[in-house]
Parts: sequence; C-alpha cells; structure tokens
Amino acid sequence: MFFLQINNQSGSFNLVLLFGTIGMLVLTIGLIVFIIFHQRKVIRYQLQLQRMEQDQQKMLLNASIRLQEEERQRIAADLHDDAGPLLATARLYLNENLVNLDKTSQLQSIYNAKQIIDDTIQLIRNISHSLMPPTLKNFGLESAVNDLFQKISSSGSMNASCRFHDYRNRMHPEDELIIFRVIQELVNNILKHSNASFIHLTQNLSDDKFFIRMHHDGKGLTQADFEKLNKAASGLGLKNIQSRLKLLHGRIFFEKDMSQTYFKVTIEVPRIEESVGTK
Amino acid sequence: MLLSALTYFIFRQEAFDSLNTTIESILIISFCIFFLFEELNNVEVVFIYQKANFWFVFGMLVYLAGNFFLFIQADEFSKEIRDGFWSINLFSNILKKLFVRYCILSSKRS
Repeated sequence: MFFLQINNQSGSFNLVLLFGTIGMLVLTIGLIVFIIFHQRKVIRYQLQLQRMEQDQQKMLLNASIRLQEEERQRIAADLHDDAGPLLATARLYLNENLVNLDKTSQLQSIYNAKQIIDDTIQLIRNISHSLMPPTLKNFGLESAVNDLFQKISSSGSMNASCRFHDYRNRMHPEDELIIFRVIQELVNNILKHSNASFIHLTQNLSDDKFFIRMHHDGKGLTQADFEKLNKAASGLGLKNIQSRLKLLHGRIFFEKDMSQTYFKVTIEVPRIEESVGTK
Repeated sequence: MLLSALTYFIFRQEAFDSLNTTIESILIISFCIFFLFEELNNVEVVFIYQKANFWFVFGMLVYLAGNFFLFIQADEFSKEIRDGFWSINLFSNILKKLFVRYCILSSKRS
C-alpha cells in the first residue's frame, strides 16, 4: 500500500489517484455486471430445465388420462355391446307372456334365459379379470406373469416363458400391479409390433434392486428410439410405462443384445418396501 | 472499529488515519465480494438485483472503490489537493446514500 503513496510529485500523484479511482470503479462495476449477467444466465437455464420437466410431466399425465379414458371406453363398449344385448334377450324370454304359454315352452324359455344369464356372468367375470387379474391379487406377481405367459404360449403364435429367480417375498400389492401392467404393456407391444417368435422373461434381485429382463427375437426398440417416442405426441403405451415406473422410482432400458440378435428390455425398481406376506 | 480505537487511544492520533481507513475498505470490499459470490451460488430463482441487500452492497462497493486510492493517499494530501479531489468522496458518498435509500425503500416494499 505504501508504495502507492507518492510524495511531493504532484503530477504523478494526480495520475495515480485518477487512474486508480477510475480503475477501481471500472473493476467494481465490471464485477457487478458480470455477476448479474452470469446469474441471469444460470436462472434462465434453471427455468428452461424446470419448463422441460413440467412439459414432460404434462405429457405423461395426458398420456395416463388418455389411457384411462380409452380403458373406460373399452369397458363401456364391452358392457354396452355384449352384456346389454344379452340381458335384453334374457328379458325377452322372461316377458309377461310367459305365463300364457304352455308348460314346455315356458321351460324352454326359462332354460334359454338361464343360458344367456350364465353367458352374461362369464362375460362380466372376464371384464372384471381384465381389470384386475385375480391371480395377481391372490397369488402374486410370479403366478400372474406365469399365467399371462402360459396363455400366450397356448395360443400357439409365440413361445413365451418366464423364470423368477429370487422372489421369495412378495412386494406391496400396488407395486406388483404396477409392474404387472408394465409387463403386460411390453408384452402387448411385442405381440403387436415385433413379429417375435419367442419372449423370455427373467427376474432377479441385486443390491436391493428388483430387475425384470425380457428378451425377444423380433423387431425391437433401443433406448434412443424409446426416448424419441417418449417425447413424440404418439407412443401412448410407452409414456404410460414411463409414468407407471416413475411412481415406483423405477427405470426402464431398451437395448440390443451383445450378439445383436435379440432385443432386451430391463426394468429396474428399487425394493423399498418388503413383503406383505411370504409365498 | 478496533483499529480506530487503537489509533485514537494508543497512538493518540486524532486526524484522518489513512492506514486504518484503507484496511477497513479492503475488509468491507472483501465482505461485499464474498456476499456477491454467495448470492451467485444461491439456488433460489430470484434475480440478484431484486433483493434489497444487493443495492446496499452495490452502494458500499461503489463508495469504497471510488475512494480507495483517495484513502491510501489521504496522509499525503496538502490542503489544495484535498480540496481538489475531495469531490470524488462527496460524489461517491451521494451515490452510496442513494443506493442505500433505494435498498431501504425496496426492503420496505417487499
């Protein structure tokens, strides 16, 4: 500091003072301007990130609402087109004129009505099972997935197999339902789009994480395709998978096998809550 | 304050003390810069100039930066030179007071 003090040299003294003061002011204002602009840049970036996140959430919410509406429409259509006519026909057999008919016709009408009511019961049971599979509720994810894969295999169009390596303790029923729905959606996609000849599902536990891996030999997706479809307006099923897994803090990876022959889908879910009941 | 007290009671110096004031200025400038960088690292999404504290710090920085060399040289001033250059002090003091006034007003508003 003392070397800046210049004695008895008025000209130099003035210059040091003048340029020193101007320099300090320029430095200070420069620093403030830099901080303001830097902060504005950071805040804009943060806001942009927030906006993107909100858009993504909005898209997922829209997808789930649309899917819910589609499901409602499907149930409404099933009830209206199948159960409605069946019950109306049964009503026709059991109209007021029935008392005026002879005994044989009465019995025949009652028998027909009974048949139709049985069909309706079966139909409603099927609708209810498609909403909530009883196997899943009563016996857990492993049985429900086995059941699903057996049904696919028995149709003859595809060879489907599954193996649960480490599922001694059942997960929370709500989590099981979410995972089951994701598997259902993936299997549905494979059946619809991949032309695969087999699907194989394996389940593992590692580092407190629950893994489900599916292999198939058809036309599949890679992670890049998944992300692209996820951002597009279409791809409702994939968005639904994403939003369901988000509830479980889970992740999904699409990749091509090392051998480049199979496509692999991996679902990773942290095992937060342990079993409700052991199998 | 400590330095001023030392100067007054121990060194018995009653005139303007250049050394004290310069050290004070360096300290306050350092604190102001520290405050600004703390604000920069703050994750809050509020622009820095929307905060009342910022205007106080800005006023202090402008005042101290404007007067820093004046304080360093203060011991060497003759009466004429002091009269010539003391306007820098007056002007930066007015600016500081304006910014402090703005800080008080904006803190009352918020």
